[in-house]
Amino acid sequence: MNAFTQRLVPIEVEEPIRIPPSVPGGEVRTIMVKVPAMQDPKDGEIYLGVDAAAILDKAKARHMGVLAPQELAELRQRLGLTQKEIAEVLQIGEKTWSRWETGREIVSRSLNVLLRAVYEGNISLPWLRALLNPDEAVTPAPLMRICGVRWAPNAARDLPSSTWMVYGKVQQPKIEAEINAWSLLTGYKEPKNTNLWVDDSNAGVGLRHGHLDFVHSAGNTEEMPLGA
Amino acid sequence: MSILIPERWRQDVAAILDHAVAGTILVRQRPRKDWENLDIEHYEAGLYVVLADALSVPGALSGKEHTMKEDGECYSFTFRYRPPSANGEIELYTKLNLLPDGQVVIIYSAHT
Repeated sequence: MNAFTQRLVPIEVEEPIRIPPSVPGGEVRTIMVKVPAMQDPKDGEIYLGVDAAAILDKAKARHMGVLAPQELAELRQRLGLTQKEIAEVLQIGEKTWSRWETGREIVSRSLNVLLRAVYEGNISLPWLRALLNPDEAVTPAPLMRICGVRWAPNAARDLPSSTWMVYGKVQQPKIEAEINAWSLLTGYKEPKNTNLWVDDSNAGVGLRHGHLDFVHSAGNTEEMPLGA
Repeated sequence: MSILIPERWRQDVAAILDHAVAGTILVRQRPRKDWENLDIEHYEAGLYVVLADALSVPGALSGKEHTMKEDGECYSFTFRYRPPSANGEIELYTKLNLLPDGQVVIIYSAHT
């Protein structure tokens, strides 16, 4: 430990951040954000750390309506992609993604719209990957809004024990009820093996290449084309 | 008088700024505001990245040594940088201190 850092006293300060206008020529707003800081009792000098920077950056991004650097990193990790892989899927340069994720630059507003849809589960990774290979038969529209993921060992008898439980809401108008879904994590990564299992009490739903197979508890099956 | 900044210091400081782990970087309020005012499209974390990049450029880096109230090894230097909203590069001045344990960097200055 350094003698200097040991004598610092934790405090809270309000720091100004400027919010760029959303339209060219618009007004620049300044907002105040409370952040943790450290004060040197010897000279009163105030220091901000990495945690304060993260709070300020998140506040700035939120007021701009764009994903913050930490949220971009979280999204990429959630999709199980490297920086190079996500850049390929988005059809941008790896350095561009790196600049956004590290906070060197604010994400472009146009691509932010797409990323926001992916972040909120309205667009899937297989769907994005399909844009790179237009000839492949893939899900043409977002099927399910992913609301959360949690670990669920032994969640279903017919699935491996290493199963992730995905909680979501089906977007199709014919199925409006909230459902619990099981998805193989590897299935989420591999578009060709997309196989999203959904369970609503005793019913199950599987997603397979452009069709929604709805399995009732009684065992009979309906096939519902996407976009119907 | 300008001196050659030690390679070890340069690598250590660049690594700390690049990893940006909580508790390892301390920015004074003045450089924080200078950085924010330099370009409205700046994030706070962008300062760490830009400084790490400047220190990671291969080749000799010249600067000045400073003695600060806080212990440690402190150097200032200038480098070329292109802000997100700018059309061209600007020259940025910075002063950084690596504290004696080699784990914490203080950013004293970051301005044109």
